[in-house]
Amino acid sequence: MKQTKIDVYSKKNRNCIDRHCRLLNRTCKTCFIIPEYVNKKIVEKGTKKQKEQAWRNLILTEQLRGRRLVTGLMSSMFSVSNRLDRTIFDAKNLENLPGNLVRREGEKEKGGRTVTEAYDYSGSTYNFFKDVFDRNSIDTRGMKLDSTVHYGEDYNNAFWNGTQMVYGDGDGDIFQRFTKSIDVIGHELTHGVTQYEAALEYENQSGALNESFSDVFGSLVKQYFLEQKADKADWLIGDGLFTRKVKGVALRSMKEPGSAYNDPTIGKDPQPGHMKDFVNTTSDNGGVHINSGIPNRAFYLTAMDLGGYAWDKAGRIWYIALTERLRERSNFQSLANSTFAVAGQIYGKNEQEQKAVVKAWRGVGIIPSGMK
Amino acid sequence: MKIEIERSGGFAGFTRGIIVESKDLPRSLAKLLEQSLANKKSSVPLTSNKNKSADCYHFKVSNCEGKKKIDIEFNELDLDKELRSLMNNLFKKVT
Repeated sequence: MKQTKIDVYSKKNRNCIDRHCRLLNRTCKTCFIIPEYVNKKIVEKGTKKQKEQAWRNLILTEQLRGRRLVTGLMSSMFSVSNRLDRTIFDAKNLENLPGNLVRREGEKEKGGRTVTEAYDYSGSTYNFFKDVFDRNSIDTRGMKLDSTVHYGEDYNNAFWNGTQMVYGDGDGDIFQRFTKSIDVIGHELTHGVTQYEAALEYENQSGALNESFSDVFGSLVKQYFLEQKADKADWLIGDGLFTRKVKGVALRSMKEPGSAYNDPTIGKDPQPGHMKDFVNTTSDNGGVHINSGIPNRAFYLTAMDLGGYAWDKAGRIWYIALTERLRERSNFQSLANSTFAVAGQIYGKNEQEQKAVVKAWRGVGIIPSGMK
Repeated sequence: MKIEIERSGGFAGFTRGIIVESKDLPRSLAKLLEQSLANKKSSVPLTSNKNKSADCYHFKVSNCEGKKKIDIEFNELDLDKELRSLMNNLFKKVT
């Protein structure tokens, strides 16, 4: 194996290494001159700056070796907050972020129902990930959950900007406020989780997976909050967001993609539920909100087949796929393969869990590679 | 100058398009869009990280005149707050 001396502390090489790291499925024949045990020692004993650099090196080498174990292990060596920490800001209908501070963690209810919803539902989302997957916030290290409400004027949207969640009030004509639905908040927060895990590129199939994971865990947050089993859940995303004027029950249906709305003003729900109906488009970053219907339905079918609480088995399989298997450019086939493999590893090959996963993916037109 | 602007994405994933005369746009916005199309590349510095943000609006601006179609694309977070507000205002009447 070729040995290449690299100054891993130089900014130029860090950038180069980051780009190289994106090719995770390729065999890396470059060895780093600083051994792992030295970096671990620096993490234990070094200055704050030295610790951070050494930690980055360890993450990098683990990624090159196709492992992600170090993230969880090393996080325990830094000061990590193990408590929920929410901050809600008010943009006052402007588009400045984060806006005016309204409510900090632990403060009593104030600022109106939108602030309360953002506060309560981000707490519910944190609790879901902590209780079910032992995940400490978005980054596993207790990252603060910042939300801005009343963003923009009549703003018919909610988004994740890479560091925080942002919610509009809706125009009152088509949309109500976007904090109204717990699954919307779960959806946005999950974008943060994805960013720190598989970092699925936000376009085409990888982007549709990114969207699907947010719908999946957004829905599971709602089901957990309501203590619903899979057969009692509505499997709707954004129900309650439309005003009464709109002919529609929600923005998306994981159970039956394409059925959520059909309205003379906003049109018909365009989501497909099967690969034969995959939408090729350049809009919406390659249809990330459209084609997410296919993996959404695969999750729904898996959860319904297995029964019980959907987060228990189906949710666990999908979570492990997101955090341990997928990469930036993973596609639907990658997720099918990963969930098939994970189900076999956790529950046993050819057991009901793996069979349910296979049946679900076949149901949307994809055959996991282990089955071919 | 006639310009087509498509806004897609957002949490709802709606795609909507409008055609406007640049002279009818707010001056700063008209200047930005005309400049981008004239240069055949976005004058909007693509500062936001497309792969970290999600559910933001995505804009595609195209010329309606001229022999060759030119498309300029950017994310709403690439715009400064004034231009972002102006762009989103254009779509207020288009649901």
